[in-house]
Amino acid sequence: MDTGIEQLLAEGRHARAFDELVPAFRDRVFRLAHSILRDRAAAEDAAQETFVRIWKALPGFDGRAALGTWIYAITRNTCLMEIRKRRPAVSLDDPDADEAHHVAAAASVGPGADPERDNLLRLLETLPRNQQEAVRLFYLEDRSYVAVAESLGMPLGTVKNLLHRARKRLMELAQPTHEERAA
Amino acid sequence: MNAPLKPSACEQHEHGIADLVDGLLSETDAHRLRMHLAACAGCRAWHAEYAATNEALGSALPQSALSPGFDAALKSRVQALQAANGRDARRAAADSEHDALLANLRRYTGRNAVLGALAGALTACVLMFLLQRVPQHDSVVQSALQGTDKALVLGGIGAVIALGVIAWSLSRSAIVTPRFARW
Repeated sequence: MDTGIEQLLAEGRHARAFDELVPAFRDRVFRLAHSILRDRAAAEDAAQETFVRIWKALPGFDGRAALGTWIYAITRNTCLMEIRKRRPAVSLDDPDADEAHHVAAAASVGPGADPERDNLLRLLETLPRNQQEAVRLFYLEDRSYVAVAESLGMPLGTVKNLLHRARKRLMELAQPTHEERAA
Repeated sequence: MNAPLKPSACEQHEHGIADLVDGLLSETDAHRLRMHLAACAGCRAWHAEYAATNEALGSALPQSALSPGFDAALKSRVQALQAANGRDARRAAADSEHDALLANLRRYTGRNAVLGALAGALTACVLMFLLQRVPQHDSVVQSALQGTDKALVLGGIGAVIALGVIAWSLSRSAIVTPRFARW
């Protein structure tokens, strides 16, 4: 899939390459944005912005990285900029700020028709951001480790480890405490 | 905070159980692990809980897709960018053409000025040469050339010729005037 597009790019046919690139990558770009931003409309906007950036940057693509890696890196950067715009006073690298965000996000999961599902999503929001993204993307990507690794730009083993730790932690968090059991 | 109890000796099976749930184990490894699960209640419970968490996450996380209007919206944005880029390109081409024209004018003006000066000097030399051979009976010219103001007369003739050359150059707009610099 990417080879044909990269061939077009090598020939300088950027407009044609872009036309082929959009249908090939739009869903993965959207799902990656959704896993990071956790909001469908914001993810779609971010996907649009990502492709506009790709269109502008395409003539400069030198093929040193795989096309997919390049596109997902642009997607992640676009999403991170969107998060920064939402929280201008908070550093993404600040662990305290991240924790505060998790608490706020957990509180924002409102009551739904399925209390167990709501509880699980609430617990998911309490996990570290990289674990949350891996989990969300894993299920959005039809449980494909390879797709998650490509999208997040991580080695396969790292993705497996993140997912395992996240699910294990969720399992622990979902267990009733001694007090709850006694009650 | 209490996951199903799993003997510490079975820690080694933790990743294996995760791989079994994700369908990543080979048939041989899966069979070996299932044999262990059949014999170990702790691991069996942990496996059941892990699989349940996995399924719950799969059900809880939204499976969203891009809206049908995504492609049209993106195309519209890209076309707007292309139009803007087209305008920029035309403007850049006009600027480039203007700069080239200005450079040519400057170069040819300089060349014309040099040629004009040479032509003027040459004409002055030829005239002086001819005047020195004027017949003796032409009294006015003869007296002017033989008087003490001979240098002044010859210089005046040269200046008139030079002014004539400059006037001729200006009449042909060969000299760049300040109005070109307004661009």
